[in-house]
Amino acid sequence: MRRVQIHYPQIDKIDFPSVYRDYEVRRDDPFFDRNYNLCILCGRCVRVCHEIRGASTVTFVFRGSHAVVGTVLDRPLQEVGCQFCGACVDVCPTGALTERAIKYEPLPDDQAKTICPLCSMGCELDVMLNKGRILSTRPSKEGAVNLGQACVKGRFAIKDTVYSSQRILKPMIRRRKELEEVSWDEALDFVAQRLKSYKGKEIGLIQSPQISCEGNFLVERFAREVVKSQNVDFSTGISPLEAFYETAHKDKVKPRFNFKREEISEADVILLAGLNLAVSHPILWLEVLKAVRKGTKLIMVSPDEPLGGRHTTVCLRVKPGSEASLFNYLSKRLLKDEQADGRVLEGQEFFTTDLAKLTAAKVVESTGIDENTLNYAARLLSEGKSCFIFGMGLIQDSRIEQNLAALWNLALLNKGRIIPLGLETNSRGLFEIKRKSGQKTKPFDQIVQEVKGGQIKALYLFGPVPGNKKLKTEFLVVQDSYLNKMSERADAVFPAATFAESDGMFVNVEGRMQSFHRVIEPLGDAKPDWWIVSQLALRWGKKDFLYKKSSDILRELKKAIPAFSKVSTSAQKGGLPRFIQESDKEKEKFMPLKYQERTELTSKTYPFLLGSEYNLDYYRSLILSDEIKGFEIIRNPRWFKLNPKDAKRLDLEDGDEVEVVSPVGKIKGIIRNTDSVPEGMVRSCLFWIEEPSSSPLLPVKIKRGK
Amino acid sequence: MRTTGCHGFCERGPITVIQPDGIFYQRVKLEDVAEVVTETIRNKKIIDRLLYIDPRTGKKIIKEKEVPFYKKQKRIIFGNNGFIDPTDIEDYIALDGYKALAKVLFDMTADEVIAEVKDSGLRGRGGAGFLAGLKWEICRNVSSDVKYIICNADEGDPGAYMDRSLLEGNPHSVIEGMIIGAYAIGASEGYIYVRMEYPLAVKNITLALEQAREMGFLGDSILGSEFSFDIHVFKGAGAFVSGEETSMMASIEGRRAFPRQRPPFPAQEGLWGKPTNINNVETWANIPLILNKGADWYSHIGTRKSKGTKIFSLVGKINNTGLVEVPMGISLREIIYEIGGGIKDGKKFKAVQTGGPSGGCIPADMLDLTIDFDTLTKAGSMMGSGGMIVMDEDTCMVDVARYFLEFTQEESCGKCVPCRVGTRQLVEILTRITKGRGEERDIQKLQDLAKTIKAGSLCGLGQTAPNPVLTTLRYFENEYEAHINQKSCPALVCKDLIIYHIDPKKCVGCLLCLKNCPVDAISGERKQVHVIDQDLCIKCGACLDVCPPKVSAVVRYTGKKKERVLKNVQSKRAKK
Amino acid sequence: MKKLLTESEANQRDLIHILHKVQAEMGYISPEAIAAISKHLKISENEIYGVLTFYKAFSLKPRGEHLVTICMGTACHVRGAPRILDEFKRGLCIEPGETSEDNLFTLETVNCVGASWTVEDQRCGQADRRNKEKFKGIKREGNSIKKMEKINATRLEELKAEILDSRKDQKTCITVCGGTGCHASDVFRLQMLSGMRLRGRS
Repeated sequence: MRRVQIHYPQIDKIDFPSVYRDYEVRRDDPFFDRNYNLCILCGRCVRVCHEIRGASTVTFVFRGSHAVVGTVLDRPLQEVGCQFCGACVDVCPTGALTERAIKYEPLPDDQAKTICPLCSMGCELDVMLNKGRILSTRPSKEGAVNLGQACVKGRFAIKDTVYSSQRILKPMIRRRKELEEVSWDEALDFVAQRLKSYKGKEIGLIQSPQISCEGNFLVERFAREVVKSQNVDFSTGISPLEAFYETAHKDKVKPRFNFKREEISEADVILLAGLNLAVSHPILWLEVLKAVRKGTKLIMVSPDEPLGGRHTTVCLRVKPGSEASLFNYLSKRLLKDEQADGRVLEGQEFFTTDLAKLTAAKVVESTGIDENTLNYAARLLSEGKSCFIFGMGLIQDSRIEQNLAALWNLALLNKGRIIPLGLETNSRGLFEIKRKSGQKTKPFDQIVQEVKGGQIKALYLFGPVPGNKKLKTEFLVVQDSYLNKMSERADAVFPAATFAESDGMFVNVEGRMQSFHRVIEPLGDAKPDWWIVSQLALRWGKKDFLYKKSSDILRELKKAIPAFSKVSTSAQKGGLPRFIQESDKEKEKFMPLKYQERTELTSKTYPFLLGSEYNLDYYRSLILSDEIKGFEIIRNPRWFKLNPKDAKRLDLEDGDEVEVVSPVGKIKGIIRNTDSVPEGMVRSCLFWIEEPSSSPLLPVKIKRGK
Repeated sequence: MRTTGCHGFCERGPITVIQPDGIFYQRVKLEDVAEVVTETIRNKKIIDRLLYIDPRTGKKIIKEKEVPFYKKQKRIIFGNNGFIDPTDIEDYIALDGYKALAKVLFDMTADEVIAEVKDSGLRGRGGAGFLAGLKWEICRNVSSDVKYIICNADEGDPGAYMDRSLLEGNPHSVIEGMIIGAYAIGASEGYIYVRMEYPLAVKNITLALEQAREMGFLGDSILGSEFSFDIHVFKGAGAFVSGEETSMMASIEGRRAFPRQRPPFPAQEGLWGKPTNINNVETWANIPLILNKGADWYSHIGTRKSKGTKIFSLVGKINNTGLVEVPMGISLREIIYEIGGGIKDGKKFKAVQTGGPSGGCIPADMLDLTIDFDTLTKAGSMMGSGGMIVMDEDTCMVDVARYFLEFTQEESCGKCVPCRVGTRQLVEILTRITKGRGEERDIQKLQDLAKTIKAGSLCGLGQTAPNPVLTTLRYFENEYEAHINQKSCPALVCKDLIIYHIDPKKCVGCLLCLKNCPVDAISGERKQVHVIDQDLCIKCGACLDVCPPKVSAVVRYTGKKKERVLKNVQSKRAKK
Repeated sequence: MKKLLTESEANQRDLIHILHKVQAEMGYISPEAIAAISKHLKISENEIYGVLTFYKAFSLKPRGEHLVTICMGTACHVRGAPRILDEFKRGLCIEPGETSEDNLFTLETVNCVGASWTVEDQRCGQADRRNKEKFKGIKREGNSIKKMEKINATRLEELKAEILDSRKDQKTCITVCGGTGCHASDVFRLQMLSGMRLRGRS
């Protein structure tokens, strides 16, 4: 709009009286304002919301001269299913929809590209800059991953993440019980000197899947070559990727992990299990919607009602933990339906005999879904090329292998594709580095045990660690971009640069290798992670750790791990997309069913199951809703989502303060009623950061708070 | 005893005709029924009181055919309405119903049917007058596994109701036409989109469909042939714009009735993206006729370019309101004076409005205009669906234009800016003029804006919305000027420009107006002259209505005369 | 509500049909109804709201006990409908589209009920006729066919002959016009007879 005025200043008189519609400007929504007095009803927001985002939150209401863009009964956006992806703001030609944060900012004078670090999709973003400062971010139209779309995180959270008030800007070391700001040399010398006093096995290093491949590779080498420790892993526990790999590995099955976004929309049937794709990976969800629009059948398997459930052909709301028997039953139906297919694969006989024991009545009882619906789902699956996408929901209790084996068999029978979806930005990259580096390392859980047992005396953290309160060591180094509970207790704190201030590469969930480049100068004295590690290694006299640029490390990474060999820093400049290399052949073999006894988690004292909603709503140790008010409105980490029936039983209403108590600890929060959560469950966003647990499902009881 | 469809002569309803003699009774009341049975049927006596009196000659007329209202008409489509009980399919079959369908299914190929319809020269009765046969052919030539046909019975034009009458009175003729059309085009499913304001039409057509289905005229392998087809009724939900073909399809699909851009035309991509043919009720009703009697017979009726007959709903300030079916090429004068029996209360004819909100007004000096698609368009109006609203000297043309624009403004879907904002601006200017606040430049502004709206709108509604303004400006510019310059409304309609006044010389002080005034603005005593307090008067006109015609003391003034009277009143008050 | 929905198919094309049913059954479309329809048809509530606000047939507020619908069609306009409307507005103290405080009357305008022939210059008459009673007055007997058979082309001719044959004996036939117009004027007249006069003031 500003530009229009600049270009056409000669319009000074309008022949007809203007009619001011006098709509109230809506300022109650997070992130953007809606002033429909400026709206010309071009319908672009309505179309993008309906046709591309599949959300249909805004639509034309009324008609003729009363026509206006609005929501049902004029409710605020957050009550009508809006995810605040900002697509409508980007297409609005008049300024009726405006991003609140930049309303009074100057126009951008420069533009740069970066990769969004806030989930494993790695959307390409255009960063608007003014005098070297980030104004806002938009989804890049050329982005191969996101095709001009973004979600609320990439669109509205980047700027505040980079300029957070919790940023660490100076190296600090603890002297006389106080953290003091010091120079880099002083801090590095201090840490090197202290670390040298421990043996390799006394040192633990916790990586972060949110830092670049280069950074993580160097940490790996640092552990191996400098401090000579095997205690190196990342903190977020098991990811679908790893779980799937390990389950398959045990049976000598080699699954493929690479996929292309388009493969999803080419399928005839899509089965989503254990994830809320529209929230956790909104960009992949768009691809699913694209498929649904052209007639693909969509099956969702989850205890909860996922967002966008109305796009499903059938939504199987299973009882938590009964996914495996559901998959097995579907396999059984498919076997019945497809006897003509003469193909016999390894393990099929076992599989068939095992399945024979499974009766419909049993499955109906354990899953809570009626037989007709089950058979309908099986029929849908038999209709064509299928694609199975699963997420954290399938690996959140102790029966991970059982779930994944069942899914694998089902997919194999159906000649379908399985896609495990990790959450963390660079989880695929880190996974490949760990898988292919050939070094034996201890898993995270074991490291935690050893810390608690006192075998590990010095800890070097690159990201957040769950259950941080209980991790006590003699010497603690925290390398992070944000202050957190661990940095308060640390003996040394290194200010790490964020993605916007450094170069590097992320491997996204598809296996696509994406480089990002420095957009702004590092804030304060912050330095890239690789620089800090390399400088530290130099204190041990390791000359081969001396790098000038991150691309030098990449060159080394390519040499060390052949999977990365196809990467090129120019990949984004119009080159072909670069993928992690892997062998194409999947071994076709059924896995044993691996029945695992179901242990009842809940009890009389702890009648509810607390589960997480798996969204990556944090960057390193910054919880987005702590910094960004809009996030608190749409996904408050303090919410405990409860089925209204349960809430009624407990006499709790929306907004009531409660305390959720588990055998291992307790957390406070606010009740939020929603139909999407099944009875007997409580859902919360981020609790694992606060609470340690080996199983993400916890039995809990709910007490009214004060 | 049979309840039939509408006879068309609505002014005189309820109508009863005794067959086979065709004795025509009008305005029959409940009490009359017994008498009709005993006297006329048993004793063969005519009841004088119920006969129709020709207002011109004063003679009583016994037979239906001789009533001048019917005499000049050519009721080829509408005629059977009077013989058929619409709820009984046998009545229709008895009158050669579904004969054309049988002929088509077994003796003709689809191409032959289309050729026949093309030869007949039948043009769509929905308004635009596109050749029906050609439309069918286009749709037939698009290859697709599924095709649809739609019967447009969303008769939105205020004042027009012939489609309703056909659906209520002779639904099977429409159904038969649709089945033949479906056969010719290769459609498998049909929809009849009926306005929800027509409950009886919905009911009768639904019943007729059920009966037709039961007898095998619809459904799988119709009449034992290989052709299968079925029809659904879709009840509209009250939106004028859904009469436009693309928005009608959106409405059937369950969305907001937004029109969309053409091409692709419905014949290429219509309902759910499949080739679709839309015709109006009357068009479909013509089809069985053409195939029964042949294209030759049909093309002899009408003018060179407009064939057949057209049903008009003749309403407004006319003596014989009702539905009239006339051959194309008949003159306006014949319709209004001979069939319509002239203007009510012997007033002067001023204009006739055709084509609903999309059409225009034709003034008195064009009474001899022969009516067909092209002459009406040339006169700045259009055929439309066939509404014909007669206006006399008491009708203000500016007010009529404002009325229509208010209508289109209300009914605009709001998609295109020129229509959404433009019609609103037009209404505002016109309202200003009728309130006496018109400006010199307003006429020019109206014209400019009207052209913009015509050029910039997507669908028929927007493109024709300014027609009422343009035609009234063309033929009645003097009335606009009177409103703007003299602040007077010559037809004494625009409230803000007139006053009601009691002529002291005529008033007999009967208290009638005083009692009937809703706001007690009239003061006076029995046998004394009553006075209207102009400050209180809301100009509802109650006093004028109740003032006995013999006295007629209540008069309306406008313009300079109004000012003079007002001044008089004021000076009188000042004296007191 | 549940029954209504289970009777209907779950397709976007059924939306308007379902809304009609809900409107007829409940007199208005409640927020709960919107939510239920949304679940049933798998369309977002917002879209349903967009559709229902487009059409005049649906209202979001409960209508009064008596619905006064005033025809504002062209013919009615020419013959003085605006004056009737004014009178009602004054009498009921509401604007078109509103419901009176006692929930007795809802005033609405309609663009044409297609009864243009009946328009006369008697305001009281017009007011009555445009009352809802008008529509209530239209009731038809069920169809008179006793036996229905599937027929084919050859049977059609025979059937016609049979029908004509069976009616040979009917010498006299009274045909009564069953058009809406005649119905309406009948109702109107009956009301006039029973002396129902509705004046804006009363």
